[in-house]
Amino acid sequence: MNKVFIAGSNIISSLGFTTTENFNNVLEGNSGLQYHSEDDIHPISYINRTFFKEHCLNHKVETKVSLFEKLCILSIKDAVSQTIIDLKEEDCLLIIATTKGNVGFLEKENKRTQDIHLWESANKIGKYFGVANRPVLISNACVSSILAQVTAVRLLKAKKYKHVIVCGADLISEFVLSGFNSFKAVSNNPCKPFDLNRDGLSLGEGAGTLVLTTDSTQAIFNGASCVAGASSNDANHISGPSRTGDGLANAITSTLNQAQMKPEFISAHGTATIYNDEMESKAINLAQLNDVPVNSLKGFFGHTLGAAGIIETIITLCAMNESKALETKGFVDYGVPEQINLVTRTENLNFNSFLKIASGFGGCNAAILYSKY
Amino acid sequence: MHILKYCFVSDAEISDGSKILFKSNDKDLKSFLKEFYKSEKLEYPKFYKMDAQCKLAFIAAEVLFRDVVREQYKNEEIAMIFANSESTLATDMSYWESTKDIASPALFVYTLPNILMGEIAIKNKIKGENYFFVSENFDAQLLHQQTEIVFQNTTTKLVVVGWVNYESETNYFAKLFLVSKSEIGLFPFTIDNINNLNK
Amino acid sequence: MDSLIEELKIKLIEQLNLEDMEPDEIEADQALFGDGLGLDSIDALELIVLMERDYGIKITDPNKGREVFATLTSMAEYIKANS
Repeated sequence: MNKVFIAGSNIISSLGFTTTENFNNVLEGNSGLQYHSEDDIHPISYINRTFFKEHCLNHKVETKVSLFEKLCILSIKDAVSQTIIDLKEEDCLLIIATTKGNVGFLEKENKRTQDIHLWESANKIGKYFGVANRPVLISNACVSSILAQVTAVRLLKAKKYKHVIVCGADLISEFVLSGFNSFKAVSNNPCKPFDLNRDGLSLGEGAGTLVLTTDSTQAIFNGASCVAGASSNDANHISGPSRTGDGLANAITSTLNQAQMKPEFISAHGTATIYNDEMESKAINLAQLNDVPVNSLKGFFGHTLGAAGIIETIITLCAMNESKALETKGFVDYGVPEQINLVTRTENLNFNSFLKIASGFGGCNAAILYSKY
Repeated sequence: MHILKYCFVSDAEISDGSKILFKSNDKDLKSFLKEFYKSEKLEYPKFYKMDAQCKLAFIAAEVLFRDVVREQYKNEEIAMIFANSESTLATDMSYWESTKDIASPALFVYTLPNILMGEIAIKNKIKGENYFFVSENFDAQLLHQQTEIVFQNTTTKLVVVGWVNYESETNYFAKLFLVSKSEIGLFPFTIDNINNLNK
Repeated sequence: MDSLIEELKIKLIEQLNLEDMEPDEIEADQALFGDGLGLDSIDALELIVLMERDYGIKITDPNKGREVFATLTSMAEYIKANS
């Protein structure tokens, strides 16, 4: 079976415009969460807002695109520039993952336009790069960019393509913020994953891109490869996380069965809502991974929705490469029902494989495994 | 891969490919689906809480799973692969309208296209793989490829795959297939068959 | 009090899309959640919206909501005491 390597990566968030900038900020313990009280956003929450409007002004994109599309384009451009891959080739596929894309357009004028459609964004991004194959767009709540990675690794292993570029991105909009507020899911403080006093999530925005390839000569991250992934459904409730964690445990077990290995680290979803973190502690135990070191990166980036899975995957790839276990920022006192091996401060740790997991509305769960073996 | 069953819903008409199962004079989707729900005595109060696109998907899946010996498959062995072009734009607009007064959580939850798979999963106890794609037009090649790689990589034995798109009360379309990994069924699950099987 | 409860029955059916139910089928002291009427967490959030929009009462603490929305009687009592 052919292996799937990483040829390039990028993260754009409030912590930087490249993977390295983002990782270094996380390593130094800097959080992107700041209090915002701008008029165009609900003045109530700590959020991670990327100040890429300025970055975007300095980096011109020749065609007329929205801020969301520009965010994707700049992220993909940086990741692909680290490789010798040509997006125009037939053996190359682009997958975009997002929950809401250009939904902010509704805030100006609440009507149906072509520009607001997710496929139109995908088409514009594809057209910008002159891609040979029509881009694939996945919109599957907060697991979107993990599912995009799962799809990519399967297509590559089946030799349908040689290279797959996965980009996950979402913007903060009043649409999304008001919705999470109506769910009483947003904390008034920086989020506290797995903490006893956690009281909700912090929203974030940004993009992450991974260039996945079967060409071993282009491999970075010391030859780490994307091994396998899976998704599952709770079949329990359309918004509430499962009370047992069995759905997420199923996605984890399916991934580990395909990969035939146990992970040495876990990057959890850890949104810091009461029920998500509770459910995750149960799922990790059901999958018998309670001894494996686990962290949540939401205290650094906030919940970046469709981008969360890929941004957190890339940061954990960097951490594996540098032998670092990254802290769960915001955590103080242990507050989930089942025991998990939570990383509470950044320290040296050698690990050779990790699992990225997430769950979202609609009862969806996903997992993906990367390994140095 | 073989198609075990399929179902189409459009223009106030539900068919399983070979015959029309239900037809209404009321072209309005919500009334037409409610009429079907009543006539079938479905007794599933959550149906009323769903947005129109979920109702459309839910009813199509009800038709699909009728006569299927569900016990043949474990909950984890059934997957869902859906796509559409609208994502949830109609509900996005209703939700945004609600925020001018007080934002409605019951509308917000339906502003994610994969929620319709969640509704089908809850009703039919489906716990396997699930993926939602958004493409400009019905893309048989995408759905076929995704189904193939899900069968190849997981313990999935049955896939509910198709297109559920709601634009307005008179412009909607559902086209769902129940696909088995086995070589027994109505037709082979091929791109041509997905495209050509139509009422 | 009784007329407020009757009013709440109608609003509940409308706000929560309980289309198959008649006001008479809901009892004033029946549990709204769990084994009673079977409402769920999204319904609870919609009831918070109803309280704010129709009675001008803001409930920010979800635990408070659980208490207030136990039955129609408890809802009516809370409205009387706070409006």
